[in-house]
Order: sequence, then C-alpha cells, then structure tokens
Amino acid sequence: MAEITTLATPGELADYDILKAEVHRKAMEEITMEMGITLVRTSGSPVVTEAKDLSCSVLDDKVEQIGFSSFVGLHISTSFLGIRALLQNYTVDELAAGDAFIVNDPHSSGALHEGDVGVIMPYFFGGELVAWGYCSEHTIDVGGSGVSGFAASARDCYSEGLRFPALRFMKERQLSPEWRMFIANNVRAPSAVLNDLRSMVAAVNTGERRLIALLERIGLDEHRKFCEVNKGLSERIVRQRIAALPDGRFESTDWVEYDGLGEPLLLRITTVMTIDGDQMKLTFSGDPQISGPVNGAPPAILGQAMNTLQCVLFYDVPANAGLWRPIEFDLGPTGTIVNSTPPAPVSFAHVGTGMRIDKTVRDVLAQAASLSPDARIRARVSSQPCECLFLTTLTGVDRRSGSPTVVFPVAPTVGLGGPAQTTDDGQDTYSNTCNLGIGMAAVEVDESTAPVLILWRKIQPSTGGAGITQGGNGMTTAFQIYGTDQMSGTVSNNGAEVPPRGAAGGMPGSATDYKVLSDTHFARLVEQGKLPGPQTLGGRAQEIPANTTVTVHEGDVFFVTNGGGGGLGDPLLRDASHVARDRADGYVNERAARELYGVVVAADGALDEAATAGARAQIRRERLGSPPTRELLPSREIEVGVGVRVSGGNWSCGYCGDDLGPIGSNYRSACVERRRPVASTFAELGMKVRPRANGPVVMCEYFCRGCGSCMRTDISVEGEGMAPAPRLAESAGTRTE
Amino acid sequence: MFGGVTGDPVVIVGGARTPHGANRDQPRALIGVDVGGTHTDVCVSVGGDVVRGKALTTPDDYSSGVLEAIGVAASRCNHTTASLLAETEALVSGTTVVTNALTELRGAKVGVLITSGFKDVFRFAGGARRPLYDDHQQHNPPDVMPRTCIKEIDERIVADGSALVALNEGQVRQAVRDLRDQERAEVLAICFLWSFRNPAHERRAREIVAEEWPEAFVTLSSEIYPVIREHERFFSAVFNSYCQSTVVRLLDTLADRLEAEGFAGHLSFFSGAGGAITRELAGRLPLLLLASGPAGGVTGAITLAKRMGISDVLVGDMGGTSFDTTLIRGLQPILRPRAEVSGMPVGLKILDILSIGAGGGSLAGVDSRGVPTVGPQSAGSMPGPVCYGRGGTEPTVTDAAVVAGHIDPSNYLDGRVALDREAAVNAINAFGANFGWNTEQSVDAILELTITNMADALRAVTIERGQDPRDCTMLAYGGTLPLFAASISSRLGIDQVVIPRNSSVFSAYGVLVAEFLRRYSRSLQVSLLDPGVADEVAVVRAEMARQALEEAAAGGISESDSSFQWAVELRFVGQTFEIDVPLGAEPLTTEGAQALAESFPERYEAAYGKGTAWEGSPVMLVNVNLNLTAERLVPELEPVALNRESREAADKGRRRVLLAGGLWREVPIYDGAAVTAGSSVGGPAIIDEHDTTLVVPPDWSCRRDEFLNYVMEHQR
Repeated sequence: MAEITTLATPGELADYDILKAEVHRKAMEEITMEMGITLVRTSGSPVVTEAKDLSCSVLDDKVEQIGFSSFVGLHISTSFLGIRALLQNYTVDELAAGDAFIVNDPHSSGALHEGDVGVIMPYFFGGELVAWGYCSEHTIDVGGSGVSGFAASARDCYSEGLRFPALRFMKERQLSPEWRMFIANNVRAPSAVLNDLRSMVAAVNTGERRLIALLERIGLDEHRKFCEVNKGLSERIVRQRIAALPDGRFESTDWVEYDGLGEPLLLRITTVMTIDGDQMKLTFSGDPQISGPVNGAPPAILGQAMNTLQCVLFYDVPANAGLWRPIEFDLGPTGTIVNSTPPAPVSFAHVGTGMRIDKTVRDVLAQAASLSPDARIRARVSSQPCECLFLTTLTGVDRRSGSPTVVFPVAPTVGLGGPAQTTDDGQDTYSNTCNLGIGMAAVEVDESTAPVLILWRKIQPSTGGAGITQGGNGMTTAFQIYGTDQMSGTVSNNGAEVPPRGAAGGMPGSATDYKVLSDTHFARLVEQGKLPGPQTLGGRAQEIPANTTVTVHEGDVFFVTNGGGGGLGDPLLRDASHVARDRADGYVNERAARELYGVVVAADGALDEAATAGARAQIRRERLGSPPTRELLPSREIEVGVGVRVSGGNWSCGYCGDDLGPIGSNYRSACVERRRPVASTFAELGMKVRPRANGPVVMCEYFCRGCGSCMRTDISVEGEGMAPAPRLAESAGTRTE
Repeated sequence: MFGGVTGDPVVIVGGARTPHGANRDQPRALIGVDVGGTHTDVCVSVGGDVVRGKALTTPDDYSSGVLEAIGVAASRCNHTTASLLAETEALVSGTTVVTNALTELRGAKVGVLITSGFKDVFRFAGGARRPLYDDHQQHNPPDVMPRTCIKEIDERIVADGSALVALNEGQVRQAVRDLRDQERAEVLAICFLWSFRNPAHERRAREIVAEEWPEAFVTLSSEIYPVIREHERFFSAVFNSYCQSTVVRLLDTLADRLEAEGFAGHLSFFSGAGGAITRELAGRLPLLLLASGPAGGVTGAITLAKRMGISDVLVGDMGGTSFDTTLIRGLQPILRPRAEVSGMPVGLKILDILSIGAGGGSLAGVDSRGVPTVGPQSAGSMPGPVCYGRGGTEPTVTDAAVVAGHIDPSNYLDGRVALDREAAVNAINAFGANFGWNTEQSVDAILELTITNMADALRAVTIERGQDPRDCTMLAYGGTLPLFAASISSRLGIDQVVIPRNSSVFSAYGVLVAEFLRRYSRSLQVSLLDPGVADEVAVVRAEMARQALEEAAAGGISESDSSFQWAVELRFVGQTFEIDVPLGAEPLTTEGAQALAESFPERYEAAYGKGTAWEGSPVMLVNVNLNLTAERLVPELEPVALNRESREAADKGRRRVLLAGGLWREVPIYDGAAVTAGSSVGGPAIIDEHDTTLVVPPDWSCRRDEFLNYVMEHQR
C-alpha cells in the first residue's frame, strides 16, 4: 500500500492503522453510495433514475461530513447547512430514532433551491445520537408558481413553492398524515411527490442500517477515531495543494443574464481568491439582489465554489469536513446576488448566480495554477466549461395515462461541452461542473415517461472553443410536444450572451440558445417519409424572453443548441493532423478549422502541411499587423496551460519568453490587444452567442508582441476596463522548479 | 511456464453422483477449454484422472492451439488425441477472446444503420461523465468505428410500437452499398429506436442487407439485447458485430477440427453469466462470451473454496494479456447488471470481474509524460515476449521475469523451448536507457509496476467497496500469477495465498466442474391485479420451459437431470427497478397473484425500511426469470497422504535470482513435480512447476496441502 503508507501522520493522530483508516473511509463512502443506489432503485422519477440528480451524505455527531456520494457535487454544502438549521429548530433531546426531517429552503434550511428537497434522519446507537443521514433529490414538484421547483417568473420567494424550514415530517418511521395531506394538496402530481419522499426515506434508512452494522462491528470509539483521522488526512492534502499555488490575489468577473423583468439584465459578480501559504480565502461580491429568481444564496454559492475546487485542485481528496478547514469564504454583506435574503426569489440560485461562481472560481484557479512552481499543479489548468444551461419544466395531461404529469427533460442539460484540459480535449457530455454523475436519459426512457417525441440529438460542431486542446462540443436537440393537448411551465437560460472563457490563449466556446417553434414542417415531412432535421424543421419562433413561463401545444418544438467549453492554449499550436481528422469526422466546421486553427485540408480531406504552415504564419502577422520578431520556444518547453510565466520578477510570454514587464504591472498592457464583439465574430465562424443590443459582450485577445501567440482571451462587457492581472506576493515572484 | 506441458495425473475417487467405472451415467471423458489471449488451456477428466495441457493460442486458427493442448493432455493419460476425443462426451470452451477484442478495441470495421437524427448516440454514450471529481478522467468515449461509418436512415417507431415514419428502403440499400464500397465496412449493426418493442424495421433492413450484401454479418439491436435504453442496446449490437469474426474463427475452426479428429460429443461454450451456451447461439450472439474465461475461473474458485472451507476469497487470474480479479463473499459470486466495456454501456448481466491489462505479455514502455509504464498493451502470443524469439522487440513482464531468474530459460517447457535471455536483456536495457537505469533497475521497475497495477485492482474490489482485504484468502491462478501472488498480497496485508493444483489451467478446470446453468428472462409488464395475469404468466412460463429444455437437450442434458428455479421481478408502478421474488414450481393462480401483490409492501419495506412502500400504487410484474441448472458428473478429488520427507527429492539446487529492490541472491529451486503433500519450504525459494513458477518471497513460506494445492503464508 505504498501510496497510503507514505502519507505522514497528522500530528495529533499519531497512533492508528492507516489501512484501517482507509477501509473506514471507503466504508463511509460506500454507505453513501448505497444510499444513492437505494434512491435510484426505489425512485419513479427519471430525474433520479436516469439523470442522477441526487446526493447522499453521512455526517458525524459534530455535524461534520464523513461520507458523500458525488452525483451532484455542489450538494457538498447542503447537508451540514440543513442539519445546522434543524438544530436551530429542535434540541437534541427532542429527537428520536425513526424521526425524519424535511428541508428545501435556500434562505432557511440550507437547500440549493426549493426543487431540491432533502430528508435528514438522526442515527442513534445505544440510545445516543451518533450520526446523521442526509439525502436530497430534485423532487418532481414543490408547488408554487413554477413547475418542478423552477419559477422563472417569480418575483419573491413566497411564490416559488412550498418552503420547509427543517421540520419533522416523520415520527416512529411513519409519515405524518398531516404533512402528507398538506403536501399532496399543494403540489402537481401529488402521488409522485409523496413517492419521491418515500424513496428518500428508503435511502436514509439504508444509511442507518449500514452505519449501525459497522458500529456494531468496530465500536463507536474506533469509528469516531477514524472519522477524525480521515478528516485530518483530507485537510492535510488540501493544505498541501493550496501551498503549491503562488501567494497572491487572483480575480475574475462574470455576468448573470436575466431578462424576465423586461429589459435584459447583466448582473455582475466578482470572485477574488487570495492565497497565503496553506490558506485560501474566497471573496464573492455582486450586484444588489433582484426580484427575479437568479439570486444566489449561501448554500449554492458555497457548494458551487467547493465543487469546482474539488474537480480542479482537490480532485483526489476524500470528500469530508476536512476539505473546508483551510478555506475562508466571504460572501460580503447580505442583499446582493451572492448573498441574498428574503424576499429574494432563489429557485435558480444554483443555476443563475451559482454557475457563474463556478466559472469565476475556475478562472482564478487557472490563473494561479498556471504560475505554480509545481508541474502537477500547472497540469490542472483548465478552461471554463459551458455552464450555459437551457432548462424547462412543464406540466400537462399525458393522454396515455389521462392524469397530470410533470416533465423535466434532463438530456439537454447533459450535452454541454466541458473544459479543455492540459491532458485532453474537453468532454462533449460534461454537463455542468456540479453534475458529476449525470446521465443522459435514453430517448426511449424520455418518450415513455413524458408526452414528447425527440427529433434529434447531435453534436454541434465547433461549439467547443479552439485551443491546443479544444473545449468539448455541445449537443443540439429538439423535442416536440407529442401525445398531450398542451403543457405549460417554465423556460430559462442564463447563459446565451456571455460565453465560457478559454485559458492560456484558448478561445471562448459557444453559448447555449433555444427557440420554441410552432407551425413546423413536421407533419409534411413525416407524410413524405422523412424525419425533420435542424435544417428542414422550419417553423415560427415564439417571441418570448429567455426566462419566462410558457404554454405550448401539441406539435410545438423546443429547439436547443447547446454551447461548448472554452479552449486551452493558442489554437495555432494544436496538432494540425488532429484538426484535419476532426474536420473529416465533422467535429470541427470548415471556417473554424481555417480561421481559428489555420489548418488547410485538401479536397480529399488530407492535411496540406505547407499551406497550413503558411496560413498559421499569416494569422500571426494579422494579429500583430507586422511579422513576428521572435521564435517560439522549443515545443517541449511550451506548456498547454501556461500562457504567461513569471521569471526574475517579470511577466514573460509562455510561448516565446518575451518580457512583459514587472509583476506589479498588468502583462496585458505589454501585449497587442484586439477587442471584438463576440456575437458577430462567432457568427462569421459558424459559432454561436446571442447578440446583445445594449452593451455588447466582447472578447479581448492579448497577443505577444514578439511571437504573435495568443496568451489570454478575456470575455467582458463593452465599457469595462482591462481585466486585472494576478497580484503576486513578493515570495511568489520567482518560479522555481 | 508457458507451452504444452501437463501436470501429473491426480487420483480421483468417485464422481459427484455415482462411483466411476462402468456406470453409463459416468462420462467417459469431459474436456474443459479456455482460449486466452496468449495461452490455450485444457483440463481433461478421463478414466478417473484429471490432466492438463497448455499451448500457445493461435489466433489465425484457434483450433490448432486447442488441439495441441488436448494432445499434450492426451499424452499424459495414455491416450492419443484421436482416442481421447473419441471417448469425449462433452467439450466446453470458455474464452477471453471477446473480452480482449473489446477492451483493446481490436475488431472488425462496423457499419451502422441508425435512426435518422441519432448518429451521435455512441459519442454521448448515455452521458460519458464519470461520477468522479477529477476533470482529467472525463473523456469522450473512443470511436469504435469512424463517424463516417454511421449512416442515418429515415424510419421511426414510437413508444407505442407503431411506425410513425416507414423504413426508407432505398436509403437502406444505398447505405449498405456505401458502407461496403466506400467505407470498406466488414460487418453491420442495425440500430433503430424502439426496436425492442417493434423489430419490424430492423428485420426488414436485414432482409435488404441479405439482398445487397448476402455474406455480411448483421446484428440487430432487437436481437442481442431487446431492452429499453437505446444506447445500451446499440452498443451491444455494435460490439456483437465488432467481435463476431474473432469468435467465428474460434467456433468454426474448432468444430471442424474436432470433428475431423473424431470428436462426436457435445460442443458448447461458456458465457460470461456463468453457464454453457450452444455453438449456434455463440455464433449468432458472440457478445454473450464477454468475460467468459474469467467466469470459468470464478466457478472453479467457488468449488475449490468450498472444499477448503474458505468463504471470503479474493480471486486473481493472470495470464498473458490481462489480470482479472473479483471478490467472492460467502461462496457467492457477484453479478453485475448493465455491464460496461471501457465506459461504454452494453446492458448485459455478467459476473462482476475487474479486468486490467496486466499479463505476462504486457509491454513495458514510456508514456507521453515520459513516465515508465507496463501494459495495458500486450505482445499477445505473436510476436510474444522478446525472449520467445518470434520477432518481439519491446520488453514484456515475462522478459523481466526471465532476466530476473524467476523463470529458468534453460528449462522452459521441460527444456523443449529455448528462451533467448540475451535478447530479453537487450530489450530491457533499451527500455531502461530512457531513464538512465541499469539492467537490474529496469527489471525491478517492470516487476514493481506490474505488482502495483495488480494491487490497485485488488484494492478496487475490496477497500473501494468497504471490504478489508486482510479478511480474505487470495486464490491465485493463471500461468503468470504464481510469480507475483505473494508480493501483491504483501501490499494489501493478506497473509494467505492459495495456488490451486491446476493453477495454470484453472479457468479450463472451472468450466469442467461447472454445473450446467442457463438464465432466461422475459418481460411481461402486467399488474398483479390484472384479471389476465395468471394466464399471461402461464403462457410465458410454458414457452420459457420449452426453450430451456430444448437447449438443455442440445447440450446433452435430459429433463430428469434438470432443475428449474423460477422467480418474478416486481415493482410499484412508475419505478424502474425491481425486487426479485422466488416463485414455486406450481402455476401462479389469480389468488396467488393477489397474495403476491398484498405481501409486496411488506417485502419492499423489509428491503428499504419502514415508511417507504408506495401506498396506493399498483404492483407490477415486470419480468419472469428462469434458471435451469443441471448437476454434471464432475471429478471429485481424494486427499492424498501427507509426506513431509520430500524436500531433498525436490531440491534442484540454487539459482541467482533478482529479489525486490534489485538485489541478486542465490535462491533454492524446487521441482514442483517432486514436492509432495505435507512438505513445506521457507522463502526465498522458487518452485518450478514447468508450466508456472511460484516465487516464495523472503518472509513467506509455502506448503503443499492434501489436495496438492500450494498454500503460501506470510511469516510475521
């Protein structure tokens, strides 16, 4: 067990068997996995059985997480926040075995949004409260003005749905009849909702049974000891990772889109990461909270931030309370979109503001990791994933069953391009950073459980940002209302105008957009024995905001074009034969191949190496307005994720080593800057970002004056100044290998 | 350690049911075969003996290797190949060729006809994101076939099974021609939505293929895996065609050669679910042979563990290409529903065996980060390790073991095959030059990486699932694993390792001792309170029983020897997963169905806890399952008398051996053929078994038990 025994012992935990500690940790993880499996096996909701929109945790008697099953990563925050809320409402003396509690309010009980209902069960051993089980799933409905917990038109949290402030709904293992009747009376599809709750009870029951069996085997003392050992071990690795980042201050800004209040808003959020030795501080700030449901609340902000840290930097650290100890979170004063309070509506807290937190945290991590002296940390640089999400939840009567049904099509949220990595291109079905274990429900499952007909699911070429490694491509899909007279519900998209950034000179990816079409050519095509495709479907788009409530009728079609992830590194350095192969396979379109990658292919699809070299040289000249004066570094010295380096107290180009000024300055000032509106630039390249009339979104490319390489591409809004460079502490000014 | 050598005859007393002898019930001879990526193993039960044979796998004509191994076994029991085959009543063959073809992505070029709009289903793969934090582990699935080989066809069946858009036959015709002529596809798969509900379009498309390209092998998704969720069904269809030529090469050549050599018994194949299937079925649905070889080994392991009184066993099998491991708890194997191949879901239910690319033929190399690696690429049997002198140039694990002195190059296959140690040294030095290592350091690194890879796999099936490996005995078999078993066990704190008597051919032995087992499942989807439920179940059961008995008869098993285990799978309406409920042999009546429905909430709450049953939801009968099992007459081993005095007879002197850490030491060598039951040796020592080699590390001992298994124990 070489890799385990080489771990040094945390000081205060000198005497323990490392193998037993590892078995205990895995047992905790296994218990939460089995809770998740129970939930999947007992559920009737495709959101759970196919998309795995659920999470399970076990916590110790200090309300610290000791096991977490990672289907939806941002739930890392909700369990302990929910139990802390419970302990505000009840004393421990008031709790008994067989109790279960319900939570779903971002403002009062730790939830991400009202649709993610959680069930908490205290676990007793020998009459003593020893642990907590927590399980959460996206419940098929919670009442209110939205459907399935998404209330795009809500103006306050009171109209979003039922809000449970951590209250007991089960005693002596019996669902309270009062609560059962109350819930059933307030939701669409009441029996499905009650069955969702029963499935969650089954999951926490499983956790209880497994944990008690373990305690009977190893005893409570041994269990408590290994809980602490494993939290200590996780904390230690987290501190090592943070210490490997350079000391300093790193900043990133993004915008939340919301157009449900009339004018299309861009709400600004900023994330500042400060590294000081083995401590990290994350400071979030944002515009004042609004009366639309994209406001963030602490559970979603903390969850998204930690989940991104886990995917990028703590990728192998066992998930428990030790993760949180070295990190300070500052959400600033209440009343902003990163720290909203009632009556702010929050049913898109995790999607609207939350996913922008995700993007900015990834950006500051990429900036810091690229300047680490440790090659393994530099390898963790990545671009931003798409995080531009089309969501709809609808209700209507399925003619097959004759009863009301709630539909949450999850597949469109899965086919979103992932972040380009130093090791590989981004994944096409990455979904969002938080959706770790998400599955794309089969067409056949969707069509059997919802009154829809799915017309296609295809890769949308070149939606992934160009780079040495390329962002994952997005999926285009269309589904038609089929087998029901009409449905109504929510539509939303908070990411059509601000696309994901690349890193180290990689290009942004496309953003997501959708249309609701009526009067399509479907019937005519089918009559001719054809299936409609993106080019032949036709139809008339409803003129609606991106975030609103809709009513659709049989035959109407949702046509979704998802975006991709950002690219990593200057695309001119991508292996040209790889581009040619992607071109032949149809993963990259012709214009992107030619203009972003400078790759020329012959009529038969074969790479034209000489013409490619010429085209690439020409692009460099165009970037600078004159021929480059410096040679690139030898290829083995160029790192995919490193656009800018620090040497001898100065910034330098990651591609040719050209000096870019002292680290107290902004290296961007030493570059050739090109600012272009994203929407029109992308349209010419066959990519997609929705144009914005007032205050267009721009991309700012920074080229090295010496070699013409692209070192950095920012996404900004017209009128914003130059993005700030990292402010490095003096100790971080020199890079040592 | 590789090649055609038998073990010593073992005296057998008594069959499972009747004493052997003239009784007609006692089979005259039975042969178990395991065709692996590198070696073909044979285990023969004949005239009260069990003998083994081993040969190199011959991928161009698998039958040559099988016949060679049978020949070797025959010579060890006073038979010729012909006389042995003439006496053989049944031959069962397991194989890893399907697993190897799929995991190494080496198969035919598949042309796919797919419902228009859905050609990227293989790229999406049901959502390729793994439930892991690490972004570096999130990749797109590999393209099994070029994207240009996937042709979209206008046709559409919808959820109720009706055809919304008729099959565009002209398009099918053109696509088949394009796939054959332009794309140079070799086989076809037809993948249409909802075909499990209405296979008419898939079947019609196959008729068109038969007209356009009659010799093409075609898989229909509705035939290989007629179950909802198109990505699993489509991957199954593609993989079935992908591996078909490999399997047919095995089936046809084997059947032809066996017949030519006078075999007139029953030929069957071992499926990955742990039972025998007919040759016809294996040829049509070769994917059923996925994980077949390891399934044979696991079956044998359970038999052996039962005899030794062990219940928790960590099973490891290392041959030339891969290392397979699984956990057996309480003598029960773990079945995995909805299996995946390299992250691509195929839906089938197979034994839960973790397989990694670590075998004797695994290649040492340098990866793109400049880091030394061993596997998963393998030299296979051609060219094989460098020391075989068949043209291999890159060093393998076997080459390292030869250079380290673990394998005696002068006594390989009883000295019949000379190994070129010098060539192995040169190849290893060339590998080590990348890192500035000398020969010892290079050999040590290759062996160390091999051990680490296997220890990681064992960790995955124990610690990763919350099981302490130290509570288990490791049962190690396969030609290569006895070299490493003790070292791997040390990494995990396992103190006892059993190397079975027939270690080198253990999967073939498992196939030989397995009971006949065939699983059948039929979907019904009917409410238990439906007035017609009893009749529907009765009809389905009658059909299933008829099919099972027919197939059993084709495998030489009579109705009187067969036993049936019936079960139904129930769930509340709206759920997607079921609970198994056993069913008696008697017909299900309407009252019986009602009783099942009434008792289901209680049964459900027994599984998931109080307060969880879906009050008011009807109970659905989803599947009817049947296991047909038949005891086969299997050889039973008699313990032999212990004799502790054999050490001197077995002593073959000493040899210079490279131990862990790269230090040379003179180590005693023993001849396995002369190591008697009851004797034991302390480490470091090497026991030469001719077709395998046991390495006993310094702090381990090794004794031979009364069944001639080796039991290695860690000395603390």
